[in-house]
Amino acid sequence: MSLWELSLRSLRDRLAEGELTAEETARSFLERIAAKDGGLGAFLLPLADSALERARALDRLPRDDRGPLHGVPIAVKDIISVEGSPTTAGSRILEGYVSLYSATAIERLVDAGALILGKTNLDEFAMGSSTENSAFQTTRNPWSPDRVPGGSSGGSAAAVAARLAPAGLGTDTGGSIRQPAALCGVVGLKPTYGRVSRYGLVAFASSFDQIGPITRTAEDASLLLEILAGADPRDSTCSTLPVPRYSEEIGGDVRSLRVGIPRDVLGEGVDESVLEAFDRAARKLEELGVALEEVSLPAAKHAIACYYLLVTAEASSNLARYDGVRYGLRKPHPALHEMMSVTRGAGFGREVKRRILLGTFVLSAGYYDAYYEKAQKVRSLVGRDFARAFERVDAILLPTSPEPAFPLGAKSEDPLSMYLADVFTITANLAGTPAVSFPAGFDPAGLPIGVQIVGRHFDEATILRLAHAFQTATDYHEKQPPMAG
Amino acid sequence: MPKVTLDQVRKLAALAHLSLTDEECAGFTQDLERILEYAESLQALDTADIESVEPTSHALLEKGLEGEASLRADEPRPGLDRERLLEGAPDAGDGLFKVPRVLP
Repeated sequence: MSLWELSLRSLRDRLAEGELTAEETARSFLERIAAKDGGLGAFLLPLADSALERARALDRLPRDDRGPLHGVPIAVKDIISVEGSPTTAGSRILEGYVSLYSATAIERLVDAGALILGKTNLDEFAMGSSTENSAFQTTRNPWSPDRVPGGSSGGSAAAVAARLAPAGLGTDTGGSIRQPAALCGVVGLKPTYGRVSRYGLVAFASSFDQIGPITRTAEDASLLLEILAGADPRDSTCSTLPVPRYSEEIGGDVRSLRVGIPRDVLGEGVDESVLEAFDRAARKLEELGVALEEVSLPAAKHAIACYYLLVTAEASSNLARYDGVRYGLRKPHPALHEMMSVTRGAGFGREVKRRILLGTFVLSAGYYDAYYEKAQKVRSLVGRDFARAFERVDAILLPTSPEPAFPLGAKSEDPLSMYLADVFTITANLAGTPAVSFPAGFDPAGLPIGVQIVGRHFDEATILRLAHAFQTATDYHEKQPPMAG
Repeated sequence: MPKVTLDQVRKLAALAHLSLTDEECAGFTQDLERILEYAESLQALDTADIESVEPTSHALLEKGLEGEASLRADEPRPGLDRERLLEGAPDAGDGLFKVPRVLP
């Protein structure tokens, strides 16, 4: 087995044992990126020089000084700041911007011995479900080059699926880690809101955004989460609750667990192959000794409307900072306000403008009560549904995406149809609960299908344990996409 | 049923400091109308039941699940280096960001 085929866990163990050096590991992945990413488009910016330099420094470290992720290479969604590197957020408005500091998530990974392989493609400001809203390039699905990788963390998901990186970081505001993970046949974990610091993450919708890992196994996700999670004085919304050793708990028994099946949300518009994979996954959990129980999420039918009113409102105020004054693009104009308007008009792409306008609308006088506050109340109802369900079950099984990867261009002219791609992922963001998507089958054309398990707040341990048990009993995650070969 | 007008979109664009072409304004008028039409489903929830529901602005704060109060002490501490910050600005001088003239 080549080293690029190893899971993060195996890679980490061999690096720790000295069977592999950090340099040969980094070199192997960088060579694969150079050879294969031209056809895939996962990376906006490989960081070959700094990764190799860092790898050589890591190899010189005495054994006792090496961290738990010593020499592990990681691909990072280009909306998370890495000091000294450009952060584009997939937008022209950040042209020329170089991060002056690293995100807390990056600092933690680096302190643990990881190295950053490069920055990956995304929908502009993480707004989208196909990565087609990137201002820079198209990312293809490694299973089928005429299809989308999902989004908005499509670059990281495609890179991990094509074995160009053993793991990636993504961000999930409405499904942007889990949906591309599902469409690319890998694992994506959205932690509880507040579990991972958002410091250094370019803000889209601050009460929703979370950083999380994209890997090939739930166990690999657990190894990253235990490094990423934990209090940060630079993010006041980041929880001070202690961080469990997820990787040590992951092999725990699942036989005492109860998993909810919300039949009421599996309505029309869900692909037949997705429903089949969902039912098969439920049966597999039952075989593993999990007790299944019907639960109900009645407010979920309003989730998409609720979500798009709230996130656009938050986005319209977060994106007010891009004004051509302090960093990034400036389009010259002799008058100040016009300079800002022409800069923003030239720097933002279509979907970002659409969301800024919608957000400005829902926050404007006369519409605030009818739209924004109403949506905040519906958000409470969604949270209540989950709280009620979690009185009876330990976790909830849902499809991740209503369909496998769709063709490039299929939804890019129709914003509403793109929004509907988030129907199963959004509820976890509204409620702030953790959720992990993992491979659970293939459609007749060979495209991967994912399902997700949603857990109680701060109970990542249980959903990772369930996903790990499922992966131990199945081999969907071991199949390699054609573009990896 | 919300009817979004072209003038309304132009006003929103002005409020948001977004310079848009006529073609963009026309397209966004249609898009916003369709999206708001979809969001009308929320209005169907306009019952006494939902009136008593508290709005959520943060999924966890209300529940006390975020751990201990996480506001740090308000003490001066070093920030980012001013020179390096200004290096990234489109226009800067004398330790300041420069913008087009605002006074006549």
